Amino acid sequence: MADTSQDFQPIGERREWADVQPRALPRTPQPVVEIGRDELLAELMDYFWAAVARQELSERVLALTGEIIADLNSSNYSVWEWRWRCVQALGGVQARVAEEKALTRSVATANPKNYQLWNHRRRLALALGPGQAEEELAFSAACLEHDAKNYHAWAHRQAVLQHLGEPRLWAAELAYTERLLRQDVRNNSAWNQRIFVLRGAPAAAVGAPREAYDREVAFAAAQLRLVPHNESVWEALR
Amino acid sequence: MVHPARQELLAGEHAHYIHAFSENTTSFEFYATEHFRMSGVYWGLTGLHLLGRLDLMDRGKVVAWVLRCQHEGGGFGGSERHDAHLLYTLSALQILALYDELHRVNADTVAHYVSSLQQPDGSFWGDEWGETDTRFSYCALSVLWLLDRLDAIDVQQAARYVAACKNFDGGFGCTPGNESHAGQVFTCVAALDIAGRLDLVDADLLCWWLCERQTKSGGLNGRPEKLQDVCYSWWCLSALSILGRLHWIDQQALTDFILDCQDEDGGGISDRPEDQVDVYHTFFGIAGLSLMGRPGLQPIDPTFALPVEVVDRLRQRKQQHEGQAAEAERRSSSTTRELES
Repeated sequence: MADTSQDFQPIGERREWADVQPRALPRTPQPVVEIGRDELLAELMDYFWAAVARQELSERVLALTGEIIADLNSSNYSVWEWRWRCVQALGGVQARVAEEKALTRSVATANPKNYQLWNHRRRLALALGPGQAEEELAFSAACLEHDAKNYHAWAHRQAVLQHLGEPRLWAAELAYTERLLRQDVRNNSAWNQRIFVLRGAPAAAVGAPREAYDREVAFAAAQLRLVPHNESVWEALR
Repeated sequence: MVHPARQELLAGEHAHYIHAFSENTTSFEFYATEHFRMSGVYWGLTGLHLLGRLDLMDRGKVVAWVLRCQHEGGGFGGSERHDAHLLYTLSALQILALYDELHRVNADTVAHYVSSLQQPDGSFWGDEWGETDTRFSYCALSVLWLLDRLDAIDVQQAARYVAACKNFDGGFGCTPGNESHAGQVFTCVAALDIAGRLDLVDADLLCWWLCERQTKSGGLNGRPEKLQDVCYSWWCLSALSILGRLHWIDQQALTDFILDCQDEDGGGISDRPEDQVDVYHTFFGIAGLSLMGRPGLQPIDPTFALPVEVVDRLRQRKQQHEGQAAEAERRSSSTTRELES
């Protein structure tokens, strides 16, 4: 959250925004004289909407979207969309990649279950191409370190493999799920991922269907000995 | 055991909680939730309707606000300043349906907006920016059903995409291959119901998976080995209800769990007992109780997540229109026959 004590300068006082008239929602007049943190942060949105009304795609707007996402609301889909447009206008993903990686990384740390964050990161990844695949797998793996069942992180891995993955990455995915299942054999997401790989991987990655099937049955059976009542394993076997 | 102060449904407290929340337009939360306010209003209003207290809200003010959130292209945003999105287009129409004001929107414009988001594989983007998720398939189908404009999209292709998101356990995910999740199960089952393609669901397999969501606490979780949460009282129950297997879960245990999630001090319902309440969990807790037939609550339709009386009213009107259209067709063809003879 924004530190509104010393470092935070109200946007209405910032020189770079002096030429803009903010677009505010009608607000009930506050009976209290002192302006609170809520007002200061709400003002950021008023300036954002003013920028959108002017169709402005610029460095200051890019910076503002970053501030809103980091300090006010990381789920605001309009802010993320406008940010994407700014990135396109200011040189494109290749040129602005460092900042986008940094922003998504910090949001993922604070708020890893955020649809807009993962949507942005996926768009970034697909725009950067196959060379980006390993870093995306590492990024999602870092999130899964904290929460091994983060739905978005797993979905990200699937998208990366499908769009950017070479056979060795698909093969590595099976090994990855095995590692996670050794930590928690009940991780349903990891079981689901194995099915995903076996169904979608190129043959070069997982071998002939019959062999892959036999290996999987043996693997599941071995896990079952550990947790005979775990539904995920039984479903996967089926 | 349910806390002694929570053993009854605190209907009055919840109604006042919802109303007070809607009135507080200066809090930080008001700005932080602005982008999905349309859904928040839908949850609150429908919750009040089930409690029999829709009278607490200013109907004219709400409807006017909803209409101000519509964009030229036909879609609605999360609030006045926000871009159009399928999620908020559905919430907006649900609110208008509650107040029987659907005639205030131009059905063609909205239908065009929805159809513009359908992709060749049958899936739907949430907005022009391309996020794909079966939630949006449900939104599209539900919006068009409310407006009686399902003809605007390729319903069969939409159903095929939803079916492609079916997993080995009978459940559904956001996109093909994604893990089964109770929220997605609701949206996919309801979508297939609207599309008339429940045949694509493995009902027994899926309902077994759904009733396995019930934990020792009585509450339901959204995926195997995850924590129970009141909102799954809706996501799981509605799907079970659509598939005719609501009796597969222990309703008493779930009822006790939902009741224990109430806040006896300020009203409202939270995700788990003793946690902070919010309008989302308040609505879904009440909706879950309504599905289980709790006396004192209006019944809710599991497919459209709207009161049964609202859905019935819309169905009757559709039947009337169909009847009128058939009558007009009959008259025009008999006139043609007369002219020809």
